[in-house]
Amino acid sequence: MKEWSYHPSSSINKSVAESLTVFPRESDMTHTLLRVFWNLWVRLFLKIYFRLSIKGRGHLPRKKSFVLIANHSSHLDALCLTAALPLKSINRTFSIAAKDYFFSSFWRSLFSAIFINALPFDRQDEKRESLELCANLLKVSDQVLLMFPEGTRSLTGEIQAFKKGIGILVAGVDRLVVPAYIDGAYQAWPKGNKVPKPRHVLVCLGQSINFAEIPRTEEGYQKVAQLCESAVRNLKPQFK
Amino acid sequence: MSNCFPGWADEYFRTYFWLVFSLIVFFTIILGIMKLLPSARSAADKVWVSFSPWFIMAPIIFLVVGLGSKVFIVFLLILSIVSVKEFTRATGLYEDWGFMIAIYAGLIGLYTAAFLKWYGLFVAMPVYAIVVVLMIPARRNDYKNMIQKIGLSTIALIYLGWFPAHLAFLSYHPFGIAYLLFLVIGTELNDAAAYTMGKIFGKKPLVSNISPKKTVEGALGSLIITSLYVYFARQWLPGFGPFPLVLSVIILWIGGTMGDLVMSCVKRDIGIKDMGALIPGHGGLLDRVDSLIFVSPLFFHMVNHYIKFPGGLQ
Repeated sequence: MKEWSYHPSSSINKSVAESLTVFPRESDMTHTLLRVFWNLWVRLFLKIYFRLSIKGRGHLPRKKSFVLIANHSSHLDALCLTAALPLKSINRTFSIAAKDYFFSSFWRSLFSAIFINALPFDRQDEKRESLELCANLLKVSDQVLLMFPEGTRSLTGEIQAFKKGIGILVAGVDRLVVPAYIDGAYQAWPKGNKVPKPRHVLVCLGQSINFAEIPRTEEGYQKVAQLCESAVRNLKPQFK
Repeated sequence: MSNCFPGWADEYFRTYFWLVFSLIVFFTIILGIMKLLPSARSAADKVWVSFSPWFIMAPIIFLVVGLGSKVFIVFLLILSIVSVKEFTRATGLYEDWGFMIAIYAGLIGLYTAAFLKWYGLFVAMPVYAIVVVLMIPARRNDYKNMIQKIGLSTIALIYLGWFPAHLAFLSYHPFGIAYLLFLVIGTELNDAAAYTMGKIFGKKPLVSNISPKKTVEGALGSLIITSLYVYFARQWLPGFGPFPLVLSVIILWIGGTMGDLVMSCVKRDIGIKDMGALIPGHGGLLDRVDSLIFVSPLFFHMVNHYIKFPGGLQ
């Protein structure tokens, strides 16, 4: 008789709190359902409260994995970017989130893992492993990775220098990067404010870029970061 | 008090409550004394890990049993869903959403029948649920691994859903509260006795390949403890004659021991140690309720046959 093969879940002997930080995440029907509902409500809320409008949806690649990068000045940014993507892709969309902030407590982990679909990025001790995680994710087709190359929220609303992490991820390999500029999120909900104000928020998506030509060296990484930064900056005038 | 909490009006509920309360206090004191003695401290710490969850589990059991049949049935449904989730995550069936939806729908159907006190539907429900499961391959036009998936779904539905659901009907008996508490306390006591007796006197393994920790001495010890328990509890079991009492001992003892072994066998075959990590010191929920699952339909049918439900079950 042929032997049956079992595939126990990798987080079977982990407590609920521990299993939330495990990545790649196990597909869970309940979580997926909750995530879809959450995203529907968020989209409705963004539309009504912030009059969110999205430009350049046609630039999004189809059937190919890509990294979506944008300027970062508010907690609204990730929500607005996710809302710019088709609803059916939200379970394949992962936001790179700082492990020390978004997975710092049980309730935060629960929220980040289920609703935000966050990828726990260890920006202190295991940077390399975390980038490896992102790279592996992009090898699967049709995945979206949300990334804020500035590394943290801007305190002034101005775009800060992009870090080389994005370069390490995409330089020298055939991977697509879609730049986006988010306008108004800083005015609506800057860092430190408790309640967001109703301000117009706009998301502008740009054309996808491929950095396969750039060498995988320290200078190459810096160059990719600079190119990405200017790509995001160049989207800005389209609003004014 | 009995207005907001109906269970308290039941004299058997109060009896079992004080029994468990005094047992827990007694063992807490014993463990406390052991902790003070330097030679027994490490042993006491080990036992404490698996003993302390009872401070939460015991009140939950009394709360849901005391709040009446409807609350108890909802609680059982949640218990079944969590057990099924642990089982399917361990076997890998969890990734197949089609089968999972069919199983969850079957469980909800089963407990709805119990909620409506509709015994005929309750008996027929496993048939409907399995018919749905059997239709999935045809619906998908796919045969790969289907025997395994159907087999696992059947175990989940029948063993983890239908078996414990019999407790719902037991709770409809006029003396349901007494029977339920007797059964739950009895199985847990049997488990604890087998473990403790095995630890103290254990030498000869019972079924060495499946569970090396289980010993013949432990099993015999649990038989003695369970017999004593049933003997003392006979006055709190209204309607039980001598023969049902003897049957109770056999069901609690054989069922309790076997229920444990069934889950050990499943875990061994898959190659995991625990079904989950929900209860510290115990493992998953399934590691705790395994004996109860095995015992519930046996005990229910014994009650249904020898003690009978007034008016019968339809």
